[in-house]
Amino acid sequence: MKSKEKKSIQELLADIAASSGCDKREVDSFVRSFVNVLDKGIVDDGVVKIKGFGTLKLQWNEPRKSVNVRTGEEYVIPGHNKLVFVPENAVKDLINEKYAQMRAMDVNEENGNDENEQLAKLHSQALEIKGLLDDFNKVDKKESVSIEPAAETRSEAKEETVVKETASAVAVTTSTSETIVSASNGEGYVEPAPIENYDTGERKVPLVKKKKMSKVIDWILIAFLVISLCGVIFYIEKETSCFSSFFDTEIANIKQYINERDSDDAERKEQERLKEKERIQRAALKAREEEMRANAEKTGISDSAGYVPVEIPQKPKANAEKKEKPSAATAESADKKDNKTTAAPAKPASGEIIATVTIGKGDRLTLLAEKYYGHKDYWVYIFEANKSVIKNPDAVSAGMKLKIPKLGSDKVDVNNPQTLTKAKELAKQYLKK
Amino acid sequence: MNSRKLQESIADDANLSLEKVDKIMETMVNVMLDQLKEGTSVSFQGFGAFEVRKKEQRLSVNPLTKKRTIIPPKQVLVFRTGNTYKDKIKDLPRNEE
Repeated sequence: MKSKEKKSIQELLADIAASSGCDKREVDSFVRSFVNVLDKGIVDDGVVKIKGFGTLKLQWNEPRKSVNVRTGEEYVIPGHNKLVFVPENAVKDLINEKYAQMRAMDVNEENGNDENEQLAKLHSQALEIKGLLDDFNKVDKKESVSIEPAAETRSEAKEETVVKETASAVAVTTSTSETIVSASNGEGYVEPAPIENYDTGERKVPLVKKKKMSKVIDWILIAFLVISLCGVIFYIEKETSCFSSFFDTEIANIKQYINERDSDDAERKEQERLKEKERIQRAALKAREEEMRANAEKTGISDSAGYVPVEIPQKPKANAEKKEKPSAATAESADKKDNKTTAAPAKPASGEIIATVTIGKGDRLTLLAEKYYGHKDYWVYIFEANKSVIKNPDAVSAGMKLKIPKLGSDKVDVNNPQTLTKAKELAKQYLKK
Repeated sequence: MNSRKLQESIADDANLSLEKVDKIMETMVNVMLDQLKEGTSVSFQGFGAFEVRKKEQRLSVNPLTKKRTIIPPKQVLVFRTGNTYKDKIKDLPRNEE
């Protein structure tokens, strides 16, 4: 093998001395006596073990007979001792570090490891073809007997012919694209032969082989075609999916845009409708109250209270409050009404106040909104309630006293996105001004 | 002869203390292994040489299952006995262990 480099132990004395911290002369004498002692140990004991390295031992080789290669003479190799070295496992691993990660690998039956197997394959193919031929010959009923045995024996006997025949087989397949067709074609070749001359047995066999080979090749071709077709389809699919995804995003964008516009419109309409409803309700309420007052004057007592809840539809909190009040006292309801009419124009904020806040440094409407209503977008309602004090919603100066109005869940509800959008819309309006 | 005895013998032979022998032997082995790992062979004059050989990968067949297996290449540490020493031990009486 390659002996890259050789070093005598003497050349390593310096290294050993350096790393052991001993004198070089000491190491030298050590090495000398090391060899001597090894020698002695081997001669005396036959085994010497060196810790961390391995074992040296004598091995007895039995005498054996051998032959001189040149003269052919037999002679006896006498028994002799041999020195063998067995490294420790750790040392073995260390030396083999380079290839340590490699593992033994099983080889699958590549390149036809058994001729028998190939023969068996050929045999089975021959049988198959025989069956086919049988079918054909049943139709024709002509000399079917002479063909089969020959085919079988030939296919088993020789494989070399296969190579030659493949070429011709290819020629056949080129003319015929499908297996069935080619089979019938092959048959077509076979058919006339027997009629012409008697040595067809010879000629038919290659043809049978041809057929067999052509069949195999046809299958391969079909498989290839299918695979390539799949590939093409896959490619096209991918391509189109790219396009479609592009279109999808475009369409999605457009849809989103339309949705937004629609939802904007819808919101506006919703608001208008709500306002409308409220106005109608208010009118209805007023009418009702007047009626009630009239009734109360007439009948004297609270029968009307029974009607009110029924008549007034399921409407915001202000109304809910209303429901209770009229039954209690008409005077109060009148007060309520006044409140409402004053608050209503901007947005029906019920006049109640949760708290009054004195603005400190760094306070903002949004912060207050967050604190009292749970979301900063509701700051508009605070602004609405304090229009008299606040000139510019962006600049709230310290020391201002602000009322925080109580708001119904139709206006302030963090879980209801409509209220948020509504508040935002209002904010836009105010900020424009 | 085991390692301990070897060290004692060496200490005796070279007039060194046992600890020193132990130390030197250990470092010697390490230095030698370093060299061997690089592929350098280390020889002892009149005795033999330690060297690393590469065993090429090969195809082995299990005789029972006929399964073929590729055995990866590996490196092994071998001791090549020097010729003079070979001759010396050759005619030693057979040693029974």
